[in-house]
Amino acid sequence: MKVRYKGPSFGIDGLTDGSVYEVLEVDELTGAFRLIDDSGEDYLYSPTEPGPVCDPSIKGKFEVIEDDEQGTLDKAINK
Amino acid sequence: MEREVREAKRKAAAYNAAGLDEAFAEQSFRVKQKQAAYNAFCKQTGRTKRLDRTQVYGYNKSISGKVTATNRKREKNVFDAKNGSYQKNVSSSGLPKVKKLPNENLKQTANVNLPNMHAVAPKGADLSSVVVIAGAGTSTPIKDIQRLVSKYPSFGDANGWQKKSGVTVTDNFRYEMRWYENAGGVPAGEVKVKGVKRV
Repeated sequence: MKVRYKGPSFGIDGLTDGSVYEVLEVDELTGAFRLIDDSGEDYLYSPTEPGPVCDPSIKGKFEVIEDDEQGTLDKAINK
Repeated sequence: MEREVREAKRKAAAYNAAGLDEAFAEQSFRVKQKQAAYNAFCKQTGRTKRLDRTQVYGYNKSISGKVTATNRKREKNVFDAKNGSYQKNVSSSGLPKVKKLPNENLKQTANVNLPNMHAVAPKGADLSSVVVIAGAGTSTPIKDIQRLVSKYPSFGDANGWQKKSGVTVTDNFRYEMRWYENAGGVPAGEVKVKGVKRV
């Protein structure tokens, strides 16, 4: 499952505008995407308003590039 | 200056005897700094070095060799911010891979805004299980140190950056946070949520 991040790039190894990221899962408890960001490690990001947790002014969006048969990513983004 | 060299050597010998590897590694660097300052001063002023005045009882060849070796390893592991190269001699740097720290406080307010939970961990909230997982004080280098230095020059130099991990608890949930920190604090864009669990 893959998504493209669109919005302001943030962090030195957070999310970069236009980059494609692999989503490992939709976290059951939080509903967040657990994805591998620019750091190469997996972190939780909001499917609807991805951004840094300490700077609410920065918000982007995800665009689904590759989804599973159930449309898990699409459902999470359009929830 | 001679007194300072002796003091640095005395402490290094003491840390070595006590088996405090991390403190010994730090002190080894100080011994080198003091000796370099003394040597430079003698050269600049044309004075003769009086090495007998910098000798310390107990600081023998074995310790001296260990200090030199530790400094060599340290130099190999120090990131050179100017040319952007890393010397990844991490396993033998004399520093721990992960450094445990006492509990501290959140340096930035975290708004955890996820579909199934909206929580705010305010600035100053308790952070437990704090560890340095990369950067200063550990043998693990920070991968993107060059970007940190160039993006946040006012936060401190390359050698001061740390990648930290800690846990904060709010509203019956336990949040594992990761962030970058230097003497100047924590940049707002550099805090991430690694995981959330129910308490």
